[in-house]
Amino acid sequence: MADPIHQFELKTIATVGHIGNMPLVLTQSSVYMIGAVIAITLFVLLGTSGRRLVPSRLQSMVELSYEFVAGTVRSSAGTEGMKFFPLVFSLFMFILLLNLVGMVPYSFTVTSHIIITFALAAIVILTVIIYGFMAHGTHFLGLFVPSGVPAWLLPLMVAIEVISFVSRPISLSVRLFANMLAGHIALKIFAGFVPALLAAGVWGLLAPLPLALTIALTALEMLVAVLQAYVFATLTSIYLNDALHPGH
Amino acid sequence: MVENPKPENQGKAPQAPGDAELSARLQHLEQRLGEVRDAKSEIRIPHQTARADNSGLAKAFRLSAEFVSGPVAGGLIGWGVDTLLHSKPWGLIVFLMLGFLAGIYNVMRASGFMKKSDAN
Repeated sequence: MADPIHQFELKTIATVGHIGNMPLVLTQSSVYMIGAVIAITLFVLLGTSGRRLVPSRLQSMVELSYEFVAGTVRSSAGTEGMKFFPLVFSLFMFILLLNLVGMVPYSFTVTSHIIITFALAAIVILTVIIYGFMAHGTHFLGLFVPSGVPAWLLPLMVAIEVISFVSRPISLSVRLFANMLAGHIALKIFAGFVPALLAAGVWGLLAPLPLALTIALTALEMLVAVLQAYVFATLTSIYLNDALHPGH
Repeated sequence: MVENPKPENQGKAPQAPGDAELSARLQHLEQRLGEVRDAKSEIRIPHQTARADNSGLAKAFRLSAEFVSGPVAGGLIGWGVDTLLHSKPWGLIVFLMLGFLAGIYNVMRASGFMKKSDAN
């Protein structure tokens, strides 16, 4: 049967240079990411170049994605949070496009590698920390002191709040990575049952069952791909809201 | 909404509008944008939260990730403390337990269990 993990293997396309003993390699993952950035840039630039009062198809797609992300930011971080709109919009479009491209057969899913999702989550958390300290100074640390807690419980609560804060980039990255990895492995395994059953003589009569399941899983994975990009954008806005308003 | 574009289109006619007229139009536009935004945000907030909560699978994935990340973060901090202070097993033990608490705290917060007491 087909190896379900094989699809996540990185393949070297070109070696760009060396840092010490480590080769600096252009993999198919990097190519997909560069392609995604170019595609999103073209999409937005071409869509907004017309600036018609009655939008063309492309323009209304760009306007829809703008309005969707802007609504997410406004509802989670308020109008003040719109200063972070470029960050949230870039993250949303990048993750959404890479998730959807991963659904194309034989393509590579960049977001199924935890180092990619962790890097994205690290950008978010570093923005929160740096902006929080720049805007509020040490007052930002009030984020870790919950209000209305008895004094003898406070040291424990502060420790838990700090760990909870550290766990945010981990949960943000693990959620996206685990969803994409698990979905693609499940898809591969059930699709692999079809040829395996067909090759086993009479058992081939059962082959339509995993085929139907594969179709259903594909639909589910499309939903997950969009939903995870949305969840990432929403949680980013919620965390940025903490940077804007530390003490609750 | 239907009649409004007309005066604006006429305003674009050849001769340049005066400053007062321009600022008045800008103000008018700002006001209308504000109205549209308010109306939209009123519709959008309940709609979005309902959709995000309704998908049971999304909720399950979200809550499990929230919980798992707690002990993982606690373990990482404990391991770091141990290597810095050479206090081999104790940092890991203490921070893993704290991380477990933080995981439960995360889940309670994410599921809206303490929404009223904590604005998060």
